[in-house]
Amino acid sequence: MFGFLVQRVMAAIPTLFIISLIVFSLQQLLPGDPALVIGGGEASQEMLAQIREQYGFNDPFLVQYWHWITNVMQGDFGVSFRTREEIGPMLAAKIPVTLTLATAAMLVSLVIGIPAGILAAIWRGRGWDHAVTVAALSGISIPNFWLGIMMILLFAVHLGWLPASGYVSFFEDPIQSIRTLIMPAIVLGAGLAAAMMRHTRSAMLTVMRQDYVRTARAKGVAEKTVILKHAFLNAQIPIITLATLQFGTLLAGAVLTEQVFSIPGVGKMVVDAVFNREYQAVQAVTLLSGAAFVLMSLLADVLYFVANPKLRTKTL
Amino acid sequence: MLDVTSRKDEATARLAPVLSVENLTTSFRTDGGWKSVVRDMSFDIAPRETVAIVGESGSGKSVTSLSIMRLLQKGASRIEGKIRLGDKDLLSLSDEEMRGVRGKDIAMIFQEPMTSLNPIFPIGNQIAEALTVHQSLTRSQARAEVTRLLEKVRIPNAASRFDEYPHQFSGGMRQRVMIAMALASRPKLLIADEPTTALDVTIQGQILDLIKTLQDEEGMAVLFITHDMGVVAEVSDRTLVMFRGDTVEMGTTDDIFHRGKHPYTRALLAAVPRLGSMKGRALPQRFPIIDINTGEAMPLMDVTDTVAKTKTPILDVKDLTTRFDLNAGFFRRKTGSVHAVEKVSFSLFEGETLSLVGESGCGKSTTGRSVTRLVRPTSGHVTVDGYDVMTLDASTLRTMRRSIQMVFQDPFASLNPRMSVGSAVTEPFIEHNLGTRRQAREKAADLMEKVGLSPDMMRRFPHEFSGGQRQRVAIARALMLDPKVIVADEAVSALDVSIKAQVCNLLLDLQQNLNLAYLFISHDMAVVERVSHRVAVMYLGEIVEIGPRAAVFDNPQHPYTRKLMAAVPVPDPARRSLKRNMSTDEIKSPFRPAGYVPPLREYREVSEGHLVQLG
Repeated sequence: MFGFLVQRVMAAIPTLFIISLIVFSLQQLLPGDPALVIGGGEASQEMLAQIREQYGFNDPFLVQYWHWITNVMQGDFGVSFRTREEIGPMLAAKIPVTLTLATAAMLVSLVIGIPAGILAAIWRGRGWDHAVTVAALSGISIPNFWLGIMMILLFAVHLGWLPASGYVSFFEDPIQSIRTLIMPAIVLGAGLAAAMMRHTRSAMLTVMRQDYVRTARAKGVAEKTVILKHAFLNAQIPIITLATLQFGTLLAGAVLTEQVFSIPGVGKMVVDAVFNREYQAVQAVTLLSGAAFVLMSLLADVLYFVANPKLRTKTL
Repeated sequence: MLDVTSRKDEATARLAPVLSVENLTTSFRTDGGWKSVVRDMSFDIAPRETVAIVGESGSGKSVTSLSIMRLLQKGASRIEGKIRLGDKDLLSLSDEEMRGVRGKDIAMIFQEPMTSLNPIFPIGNQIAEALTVHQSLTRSQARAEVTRLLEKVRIPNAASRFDEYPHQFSGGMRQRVMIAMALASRPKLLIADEPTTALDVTIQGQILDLIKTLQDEEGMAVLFITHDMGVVAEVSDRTLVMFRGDTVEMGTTDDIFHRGKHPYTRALLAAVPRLGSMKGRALPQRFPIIDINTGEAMPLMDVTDTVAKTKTPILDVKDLTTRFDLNAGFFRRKTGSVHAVEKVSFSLFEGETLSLVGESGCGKSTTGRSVTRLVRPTSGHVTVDGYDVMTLDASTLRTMRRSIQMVFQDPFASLNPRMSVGSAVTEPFIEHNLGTRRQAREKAADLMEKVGLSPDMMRRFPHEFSGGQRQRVAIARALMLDPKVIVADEAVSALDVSIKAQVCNLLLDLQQNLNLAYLFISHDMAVVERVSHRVAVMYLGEIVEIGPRAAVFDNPQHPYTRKLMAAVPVPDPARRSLKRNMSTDEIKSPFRPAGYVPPLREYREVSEGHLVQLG
């Protein structure tokens, strides 16, 4: 296990390096002069030149990259030009918010998608299967900002059951935290729940046809155990793939959801940063999202390793 | 007094059947309503008795076993009639009661040991589950019992293998695990559905022996389902022959084999290749074909000698070696290689059939792929029709392939399902720019007739053909380029007995008319004996014995050749009580660590052209 992990982490390093290089060079290609943002509209040519010199904008690309990446590795993402606030601590405050939202949305999608998919596979071609398929299609097709607005209208405005917006940390007030999270999590997780259901269904249909499922039945194993133990545990691989890869998409989707529900997360911060040409903040968030994807695929590898004895028992 | 009654009880118990099937009819739901696949079937199995159900694909033999177990998909199938197990009427039991019968009173083993075990659980747990679903046991009791079962099925180091996963076992060992699982609750009846079909012949011998031994030890009845008449003859007391859902004939195995009444039974038996039936013949021989309707044997034409021994060989192979490197670790270092083919030499003359025979992993298929350059050999010399195969560039390689074509094992996978049979057959001709489309179609139509199909079938698609017909199409496709050599890689192995005989006869006819040379790759000793002029026995990538067919089969020299021949089931019920007492050897792996130097091999000439490896 340890050797496998080391191997995977080592393999992730070049990927991270390439991501950082792309993130940095894309930023360089964007139109607009960052010195203008720092100096403001009325800054003189000399002042702009001085700013460029001071911030190292005149240095060769690789030197700039080197400065940036060495700082980043020490946790220094630069300073906001507008507010003079350090970006690092700012992010550190917002990341947990977005992570909480994304994790809650993931839970929603797993809790809805997997059982619905299993049942659809077992009752294939019958009423439930069709109903779930229609629901899944709706889940994928409904834009989540619209769903969000409708839910706020119904549950917050009309019924008054749930707060319409805001965020409360889980560690401060768990109950209020969950109450504020329910709607955003459902809105963000609906699409993934639908995809999860479709994948679970097709994986289960494949596995249920396997010889070893017939063997289990021939042993006299109860049908519930056949489905949950012999079949489902073998159907996990596509579910793991989907869940880990889509976690990154959830982070991206959080941008919209955070806007709708006024949640002070990374998504809201990145939108503000783009409008204000806070290029260092944008870079930081982009790099971190990239790293999140790498981390999630690393997690996927580890989960495959746990789920598949063939990998576990292979002599490396 | 007491003694008398108990003996009486024993006598009635011996008479009362374990399983009694009456008028069983199983139907499947299709678009047009219910279609019956097993009709009006009745048979009994007495305690300790073995009954075989034999038939070709589509005969309904597996559906019968799944009907007894009630393992067919509900809603899509319907079972009628009566199935009685002792005093239980299985068809009237509730689902929950039936679950209590499965695995406890009736256990089952299946054809595919490679896929019948759940890949994510240790085998010990899977066997233990068969115990714990029917009785409550503590963890350590279950473990002890599983270890006993693993020992019973002769798995070496049983205790230490409890926690291993299915992929760490070979096919034969997995089938032993399946058998251990089936025996867990001491069932009254074991249903064995083609349990040895997917196994190599030496492993098949071991598993058949094991089933017989365990049957004696446990005193259970066995329902044995198979397509292999040789296996039937070795295991069963009584035999039931099925044909397209109907019971054709039932009787003692001896009667069925020697006094079969129904024409189909006789046709089936006639088509079975029998090892040793070619004694005293030098040339190959067609299979006798018996008309299924009349039972009359059709006249058996003799073959003429087609081998052009005086010309230069059409295929000449010297010291052919093909290895596949294995890399491991972070830097993908070469850790060793699979020595798939190791210094193999042989020659093949025009009009000759040379068979490469051996078990899985012996390198026979890789040899076929190496001489056609479908894989790149590591070293050696191969000459096909004047081409030096080892040094060909891409375009000469294409031209060379006109001289040597292949026919593969799986007739379902080797035809593109989206291409009409006509396009599939004409494609090589058009790809090689040998003429116009019109010429291609004319030639294809001609070949379709030669392989026993009708030219109007060219508009159809592969799914409209049976397995045997597809293999004929594949042969027609191979003939489109007028090749001199055909590499037939297990070309008849996937076919039913009667179809196999017909396709073998077709290959012989084509050889007679077109002077083809065949490199016939097969694991089936009996078929090889029938069709070949010469035979090469392969073991772990090397040829251990090669020579004229008659010499190798009548006077086998190498211990492996002898072992292989002894393992082949012979369709003769007189051998029923024989046990081979084979060791539980597994087939060895041809993997060698990096830096391994293969030993130099020497051969001894037994008689003219009959060479055997020394050491």
